[in-house]
Amino acid sequence: VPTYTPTTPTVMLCQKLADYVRTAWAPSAPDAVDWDFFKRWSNDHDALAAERLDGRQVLFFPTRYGWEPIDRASNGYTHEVTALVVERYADGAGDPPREWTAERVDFVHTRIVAGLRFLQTAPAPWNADLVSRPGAAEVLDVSKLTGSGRLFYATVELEFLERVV
Amino acid sequence: MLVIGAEGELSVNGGTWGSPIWGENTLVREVRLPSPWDFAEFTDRSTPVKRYKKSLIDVPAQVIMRADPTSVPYGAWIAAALNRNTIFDLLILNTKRTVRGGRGIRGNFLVSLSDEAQVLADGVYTTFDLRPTDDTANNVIQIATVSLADGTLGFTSFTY
Repeated sequence: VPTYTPTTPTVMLCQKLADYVRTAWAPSAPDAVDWDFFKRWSNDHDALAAERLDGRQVLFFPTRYGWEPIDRASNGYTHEVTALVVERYADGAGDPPREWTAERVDFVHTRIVAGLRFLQTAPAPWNADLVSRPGAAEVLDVSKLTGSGRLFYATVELEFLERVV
Repeated sequence: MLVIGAEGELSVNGGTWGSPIWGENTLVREVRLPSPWDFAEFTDRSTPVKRYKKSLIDVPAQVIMRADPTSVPYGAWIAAALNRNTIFDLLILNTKRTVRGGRGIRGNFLVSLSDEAQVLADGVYTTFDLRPTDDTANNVIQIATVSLADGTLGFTSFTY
C-alpha cells in the first residue's frame, strides 16, 4: 500500500496526539501508541505478533468533527477523538489485583486526560490554535476486565477546538 | 441574493481620506451597524395627526472581534480603544467591497472597548463600540455603496 498522508484536520490531529503521547510516555515495546480508524486484535495465543494484543496499547480514533465560522477568515473545527487504552492482564491466574488496575487507571488520567488538556496550561507547542474542550472518560470496562480476555479497557472521549484557516 | 455576515467587510483606511487604501480586518466576528434618526415633532393645528421631521442621525456601530494577541490589526484596535484621540477611517459594508449593490457606511470613528468576556473553555471576543467623530463635516460619515452598474465603490455625504 503506498504511503498516504491524511489532510482531514481531525485525522491529522489524531496523528499528532499519538506522536505527542508517544514522546511524553516513551513506551518500550510491546507497549505502543498509534492512531487508526479501527483496530482488530486476535484472541489466538498462536497468532502472529502483529495481531496479538501484547503490552499496553494506546490508540486514537477520529470519531466526529464539526465546524463553524469563528471569524470572517477562519473556521473553528470541533474534533471529537476517542482515546483507547487497552492491556491484557497476563501475570497470573484469577482476576487482576486492584493495584494493577489502579496503575492503568492513573495512566489514562496522567497521559490522556491531564496530558492532553491544552486549556489550563499553555496550548501544545505545535499548534497555538488548538484548545481542549470538556471531555469524559470511562474509568474502565469492568466486563472486559473480569471476562475471559481479562482486558483493561478504558476509553476517553476527547474534544478539541481548533482554528483552521 | 442571500448575504451572510461572514461576507461583510470592515476595512480600515491606511491611506488618506481622498485616496483611501482599504485593509480588511478579518478578525471580525460580528458587526452591528444601526443608523437610526431622531424624529422631531412639527405639529400644528391644521391636522390632529402628529407629524415628524428627521433631526439627527446616530451611527453607533459595534464590532465584535476575535481576540488574537499575535495580530497586528487587533493590537491597533486595542491601542485605539485605549487612546483618547485615535480616529479610524472605517468602511463598513454588508458585502465585500467588490459585490455590486453592497451598502454601508464610511467615516471617521472613535473606538471604545466595551466588553470582553473571558468565558471558561471558550474563545475570547472583544466588543468595540464606535462613534462618529471629526472636525470636518464632510468627513464624518458618508453613505458607502458599491454601484450596481459597474461595481465601483462610491461615497455620498448626507445632505440637509
